[in-house]
Amino acid sequence: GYYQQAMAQERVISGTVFAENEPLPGASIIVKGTSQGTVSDANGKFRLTLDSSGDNVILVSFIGFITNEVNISPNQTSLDVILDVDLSDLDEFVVVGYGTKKRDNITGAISETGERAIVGKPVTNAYQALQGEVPGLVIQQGTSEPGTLPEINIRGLSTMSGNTPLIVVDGVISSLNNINPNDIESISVLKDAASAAIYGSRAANGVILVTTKLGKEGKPKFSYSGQVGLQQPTNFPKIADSWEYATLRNEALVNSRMAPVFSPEQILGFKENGPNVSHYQALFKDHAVQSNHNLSLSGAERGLNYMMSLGYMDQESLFHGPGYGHQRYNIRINLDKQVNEKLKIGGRMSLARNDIKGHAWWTEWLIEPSVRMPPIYNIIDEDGNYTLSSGSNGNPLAQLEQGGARTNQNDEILVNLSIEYEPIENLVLRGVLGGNTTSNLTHEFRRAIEYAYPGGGNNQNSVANQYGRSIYLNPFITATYNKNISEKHDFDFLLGVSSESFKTEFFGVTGLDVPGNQFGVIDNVSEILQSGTNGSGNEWGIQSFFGRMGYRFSDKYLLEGNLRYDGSSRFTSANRWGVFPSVSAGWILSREEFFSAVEDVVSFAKIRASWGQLGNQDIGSLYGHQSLVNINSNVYAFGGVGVPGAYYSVSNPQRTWETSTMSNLGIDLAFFQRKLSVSFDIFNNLTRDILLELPVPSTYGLGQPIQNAGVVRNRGWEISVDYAVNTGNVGHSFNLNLSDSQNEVVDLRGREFINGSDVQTILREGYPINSYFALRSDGFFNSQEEVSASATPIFATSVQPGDIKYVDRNNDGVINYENDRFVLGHAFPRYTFGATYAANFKGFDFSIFIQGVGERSQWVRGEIVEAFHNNNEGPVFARHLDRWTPGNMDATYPRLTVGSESVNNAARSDFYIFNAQYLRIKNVQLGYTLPSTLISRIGLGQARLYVTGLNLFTFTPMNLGLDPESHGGAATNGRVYPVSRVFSTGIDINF
Amino acid sequence: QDNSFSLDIELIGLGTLHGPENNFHISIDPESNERVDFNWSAATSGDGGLVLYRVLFDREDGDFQEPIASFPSSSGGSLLTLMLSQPALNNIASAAGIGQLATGKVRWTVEASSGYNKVLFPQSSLLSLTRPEGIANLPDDLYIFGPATEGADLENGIAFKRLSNQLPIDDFVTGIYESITYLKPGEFQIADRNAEEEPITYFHINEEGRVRTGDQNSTFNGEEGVYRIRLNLTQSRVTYEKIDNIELYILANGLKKAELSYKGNHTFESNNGYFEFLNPGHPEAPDWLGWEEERYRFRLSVNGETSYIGSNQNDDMNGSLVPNLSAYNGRPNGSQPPYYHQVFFLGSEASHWQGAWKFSNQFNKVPFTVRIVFDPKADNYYHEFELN
Amino acid sequence: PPIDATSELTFWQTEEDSRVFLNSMYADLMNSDTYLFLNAMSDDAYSREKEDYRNIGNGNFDSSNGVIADVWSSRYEGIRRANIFLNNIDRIQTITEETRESYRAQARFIRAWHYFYLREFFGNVPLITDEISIDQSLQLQRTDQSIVLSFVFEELDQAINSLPESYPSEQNGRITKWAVIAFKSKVHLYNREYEQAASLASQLLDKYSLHPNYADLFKQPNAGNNEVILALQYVPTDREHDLQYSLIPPSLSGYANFSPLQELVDTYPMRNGLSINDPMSNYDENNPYENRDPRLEASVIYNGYRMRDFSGNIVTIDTSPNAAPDGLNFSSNSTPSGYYVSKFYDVEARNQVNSGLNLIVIRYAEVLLNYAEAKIELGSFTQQDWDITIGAIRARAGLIDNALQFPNVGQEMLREMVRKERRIELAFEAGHRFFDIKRWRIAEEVLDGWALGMRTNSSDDHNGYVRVDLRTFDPNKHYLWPIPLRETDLNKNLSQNPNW
Ligand SMILES: [Ca+2]
Ligand SMILES: [Ca+2]
Repeated sequence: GYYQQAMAQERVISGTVFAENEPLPGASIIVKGTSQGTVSDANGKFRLTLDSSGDNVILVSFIGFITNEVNISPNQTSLDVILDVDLSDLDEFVVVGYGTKKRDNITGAISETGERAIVGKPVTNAYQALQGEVPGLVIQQGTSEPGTLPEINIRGLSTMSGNTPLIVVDGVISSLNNINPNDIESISVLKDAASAAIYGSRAANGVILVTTKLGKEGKPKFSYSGQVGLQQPTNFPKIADSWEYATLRNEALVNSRMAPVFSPEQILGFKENGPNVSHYQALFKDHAVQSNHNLSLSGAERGLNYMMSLGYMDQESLFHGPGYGHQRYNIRINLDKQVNEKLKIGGRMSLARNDIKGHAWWTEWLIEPSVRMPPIYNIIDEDGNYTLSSGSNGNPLAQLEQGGARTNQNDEILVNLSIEYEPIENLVLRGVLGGNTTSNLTHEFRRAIEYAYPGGGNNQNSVANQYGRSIYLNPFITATYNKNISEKHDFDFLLGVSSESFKTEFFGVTGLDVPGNQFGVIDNVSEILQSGTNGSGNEWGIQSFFGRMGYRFSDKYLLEGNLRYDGSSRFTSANRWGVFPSVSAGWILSREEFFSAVEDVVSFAKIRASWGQLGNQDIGSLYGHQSLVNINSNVYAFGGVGVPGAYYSVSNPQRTWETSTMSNLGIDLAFFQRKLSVSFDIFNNLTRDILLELPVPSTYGLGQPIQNAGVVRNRGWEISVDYAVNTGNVGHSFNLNLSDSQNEVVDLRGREFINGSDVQTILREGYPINSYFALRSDGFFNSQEEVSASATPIFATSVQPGDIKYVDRNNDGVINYENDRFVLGHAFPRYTFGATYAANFKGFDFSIFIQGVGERSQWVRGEIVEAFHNNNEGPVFARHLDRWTPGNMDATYPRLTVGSESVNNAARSDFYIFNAQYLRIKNVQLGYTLPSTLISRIGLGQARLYVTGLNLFTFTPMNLGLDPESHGGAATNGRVYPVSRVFSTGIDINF
Repeated sequence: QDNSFSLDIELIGLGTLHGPENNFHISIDPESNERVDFNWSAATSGDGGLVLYRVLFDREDGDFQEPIASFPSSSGGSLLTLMLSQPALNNIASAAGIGQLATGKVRWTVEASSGYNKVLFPQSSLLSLTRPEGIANLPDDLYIFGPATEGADLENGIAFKRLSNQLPIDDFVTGIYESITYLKPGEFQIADRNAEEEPITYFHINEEGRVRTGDQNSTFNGEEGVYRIRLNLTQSRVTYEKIDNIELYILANGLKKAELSYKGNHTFESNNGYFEFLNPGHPEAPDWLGWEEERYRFRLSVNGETSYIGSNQNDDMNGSLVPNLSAYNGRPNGSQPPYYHQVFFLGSEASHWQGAWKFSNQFNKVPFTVRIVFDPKADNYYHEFELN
Repeated sequence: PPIDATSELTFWQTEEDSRVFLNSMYADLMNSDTYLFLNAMSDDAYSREKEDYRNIGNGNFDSSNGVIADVWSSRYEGIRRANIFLNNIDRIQTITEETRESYRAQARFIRAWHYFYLREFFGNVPLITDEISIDQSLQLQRTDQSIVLSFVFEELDQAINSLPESYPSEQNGRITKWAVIAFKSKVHLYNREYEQAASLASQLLDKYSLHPNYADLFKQPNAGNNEVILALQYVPTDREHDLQYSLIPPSLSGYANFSPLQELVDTYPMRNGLSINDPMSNYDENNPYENRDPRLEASVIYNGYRMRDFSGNIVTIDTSPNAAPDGLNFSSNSTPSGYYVSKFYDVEARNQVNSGLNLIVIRYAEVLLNYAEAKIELGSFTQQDWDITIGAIRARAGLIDNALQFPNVGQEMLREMVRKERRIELAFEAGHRFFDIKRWRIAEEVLDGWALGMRTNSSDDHNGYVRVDLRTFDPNKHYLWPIPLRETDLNKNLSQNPNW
């Protein structure tokens, strides 16, 4: 009857929505074809009353997941639904400057990544995690010394003074140095003018927008992730055994017309009894522990969204010595509160503390003597005393183990308060006060070292304290307004004003002679060292006005314009202000009628184009536009007392903005229901008035000021490919990115500039910035006749068979640098690539990440390449065994020599410019997620266990025992703490 | 670059000896600067790397397993030639058992080496040598023993000190050995070791008073007494200088304050020294004295001539006698340098205040024992005081 | 605006501003490295580790050599400072005219000093007497050296007229009138203008005196002695140099960067003044350091040398081959020649190497030697000249007997005598030997072939004296340094010296 009817007509279906093995709150459950529906609760549960008893179709959907259509059979009353992640939709909203934007509507060149680049990698900072993950983003780190940070660059060297991109965290200009990688939700990399122009003069090097995590709707969720692993040093040069060393030392001496020093009996003694010591390697442990732990609490209820986290990272140093390493502590609180329909307030606060304890010396000067040391000397003698061997009046191992320590305690507090108010619909006013303050305390105690041997240095102890603090403020106000007119026309507007100010102050004091050598504090010193006592500060500021206008027609035709007006304290008032415009447009072809024919194959297609101008004012010399007089103490002395002196600073009042004009053309394609997506960009950046520290003739007498030099072009392209597929129970995903950028000096007003001494680079029209400039080698001389018939260097009095032959570029019969140098490649990486393959099977997941550089040259000099460099007793490496002799003319190294006899072979030439391309297995992970049925019993939401490795294998033709990624000064001389390989195990738990 | 390359130290080609030709004869003349040129052709190593050479000498019938001498070739072993001096040839001849003024043969060849790998040339050559007078190989030590000496047998041999130039006045050629010891007429022997350890080289003094190798007895014919014996092996000569009458005296007034007599074992001693520091007005004080004065040194008679023994450090109490050696001018109180009490022969011409020591306060007006020990095995001869 | 520096526009206000600016110009006079290591490019010494100096010493260099670039750039930086100073000192109101004139004269002297050195090294150099722009610097040409030289003389004459003869003791170290006259005498001497050289030098006679002890002259307690006419000023802790690190043996924590050569050691005569090659000299090759000119011991550390270590103990330095740790070529720290340097040894040095010892650039003995050389070249060197110059210098050094007697010999012999005397007396100081062998045009003789160290007999080459460095000197180009590559790279208007 009625009851039955009623039962038949109205029935209740209850159940749970799951996604990624977890209950999914907030999913919508709708009866197809009706407006009837509900939303899942915090536990993913729902109850839905159906008014028809027959077959029903229910649509279960949630943003970011593929909508699930479920047929309900007539008598069904319970229903569990599992939603699959919609890979094509996951990235739907992209963080852009001062806002977010639908991915499909983007017209500039923006790449993004997020947690997936970070999870499970045993890294010590966020930069390391990003390496190779984003096309066009170049990150280089040639050392793993605790506390060091990599270099980062977007799309090549478009400017020379500070190539680090602008980093914006949660809307406020900041850095990635101290951020806890686990707090990062997403990262957008803005690469072209259109996407970055809203940051105007701050954006010439590109912009990285980082968004930290917030809570997800629902009850509090705890997460813990932890890793513990071991670091191992990689890449030491392979030294020759001591008997080989002695044999070759004799050969080099005799080749240099000096008497040999080792008898056959001594050489045999070395072979049979050693010693055979790598002094360089001996500074390092075989392995050191690295761990990190993160705990977070997040959730969102009643308009309050919160995320709080604690992080701890501990990287032990591989250097021998007492407890060297780096600990970082992170605390973050992110809060957003929707006060009412019109008002939203938010706050972000993070604290980071770094404790870095290292040896009290300079790594470069510990490694230099160690590399040079022949293996025939012990580091510690039979009585346990540190020896003083060749070339040093100290013992680097003693300096590490007994020479005191330098500790850095760096604190950073970032605060960001925002208020958002929507007075009328679609008009949002937003005010943000962001900023950070840092304080850095350094304490260095160099202990006096008592060597058992006469003549040891390091016999005076010293204490140095330095303190510095800075405050940076970045308040800004924006107004945005969106308007849709007659369904087809979408407008959006942004207006803003921003201010930045930075101030730092610092001071330091150094004292000598702590009696007792034990308690190294300034209080205990006997004497304050004037030259080690200093204090000063500086500040800078930027004011900005900016606006953006976007227009969309039918969601097919996209248009956007940006304008920014910036004033910088780094210029004189006449040169202070700059205007930076950009425009961009996009066309989503796939939404045109005519496209439906190929819709099954091509799911999405968009063409983008942009043009814009960006400025750069990021000059290290803050006050270089005005000529200053600095007073230094103790520059001279009269009457036995030190007197101060005055010095003019290097200055250039004419300097002004450098302006980059950037064009970008891009295409985004997706295939097969967006399972495969491809993006391709091509760009052309032309920088005018590029700011360079141009060499000036010494006759000018005042050093090299920064000047607006000329025009430099950067051209390049980027491609990224994503593909996901399932084979049976196994899910696969592939991700590949590859990019190239190449710069060229276009105009230097006909001049050229050569920089450097040991390593020389040139700025010459038509060539990349700072290309190497050196002699070109042409094999070895194989006979006296060949020497006599060839041009030889005017700076080498003895050239013999077995020496390097150089190309006489101007054919005048002599080799000299003036006329015979060639432009010979450069150190900036080209063809940078990253590729990830990931697979999952039931609870198991596996991923491998490969990363590398396709083309790069690195000029390496000094003891890391040359045998007996600069007349020293050592070193000799295994690769020097293949030296030229009359019986080994197809050698890879010239004849061995010492002293002035080496001058020809030590010349600045491409013989020391190495191919530094590489391919690195950067990260491999193997994980297992415990079945939820199992872990829910112990109250856990999710648990994943994994093993992971970083820097597992590197393939490179640069076989020097120097990491191919080494760059800058450390790369040119090899005096560097090596890159480490890390093996870790980790666990992620949610509950 | 190729890391797999390894050194090949095999000697794949050996050279041949060129000169001097087989059985070449040389009369060794130590005064001559003429060098003898040994030369040969090159050897080759497996990887073309450096080959070094050594010239080995052996007895005429030797096989170079234990060569009697070896020399790296010129330029430290790198050239295909060796220029040997006459004294070096003399050493070789001596080591080969050829006596002074005798003639004999030695055999030589070349050893080539690459790394630690050493190979002898397959060929060797003979050289005929005539030796001159003079000892070729200067020994580290020297001992005398026998009835004429304080030491009855080799084991109790009396040691010699090898002299070097320590004071500006010293002018010793190399190869002079000295001992201050007791002698009486009789026979003795000279050896370079005082234990029965092979090889012992013996020397003797022949009728002409020249030093020769060989274990024959030598004879001392002089007066019994303490002597400063100097054996000059380079010039094959010996001198005996009689020492007596060592006195400690005060420089200010020249008065003797202790007379030291020989006690054996290189030691002179007096156990009844006494000195009262001189002050103005003291009966022994010179009239010019205006302060407390206590400087002393020793005087003695050497072969009848007055000579002096003093320190090496005080030249008129200002600088030291020795370049860069600092003078210690205070009275010894424990902080004086360790060499303070060393004694040196200043000769007969020493200036008045040169080489003076100061008395330590504790020996003022108390009887003391003073002792000079001419110990040839000590770093230097020295003197010492004791309170009686 | 910066919080730690004032603007150029507001700087030149007070006497103190000008004084402080002038102080920094004194630091430009010469750095301690140049002071010492110029000598490593002569036949007096060798630097194993300072590659750029070594390579100039042995002829393996060109315009890219770092020392050459540094000398050029540091001198022109000093010249700019002087030009700035002279352009701005008149802006200061609160200064007495006397002080203003004295300061101006000190600046003129320093600028002339820079041009003297530039000309000695490079010949023709751009003469810049004003603050030039970058664009001007990119177009400069070299000025004929005769013009540079007359500029130097004019400036020095003005300085002589404006400077006091002495300063109160708290100003010790400033340039005096006498320093300018002594320097001008030297410039004339270098330029073979002997009349002027002699007459200027004679103005200083009896204004200064020889310090009684040669060795002590270079020791910390005697910094202000009456022989010093101009010295680079150092103070313990406040302003130190670390030359000692390069000079003393490893056992005393030195590094043997700067090693005297046998050629210099052999130049010291016997105490009686006879050359070691003289058969009458009593020189004993087996005891080579005995009875020598005491300046050998005051300048050079040799095998068997006895000296005080930092704790006051007497130590003996063993430089014999491979003796640990100081022996010849025992390690990269130890001497490649068998010699170290005792001159400038400072037992008070902080951390054993940081010394506040002043480095003398002009002293009375040099003035006397300048005078003697000028008179000898003029052919008018008398007994009286001898007595006040070489005779007095030798007597002070502790030579005896005939060494002190006026030699009755011709000009040739006298010339050789004064040159040897100069080499010995001024060894390792201020680059004297480096400039002397160039102005005497003897470099191709003394900088050619193997530079030798002590006798070791380890090899039969060179009578058993060890090889240190093979040197080549090409008189066709090496008398002048090349204009630095860095400069010709930037400014094509700069011509290059012959054959470079
Ligand atoms: Ca050419
Ligand atoms: Ca080969």
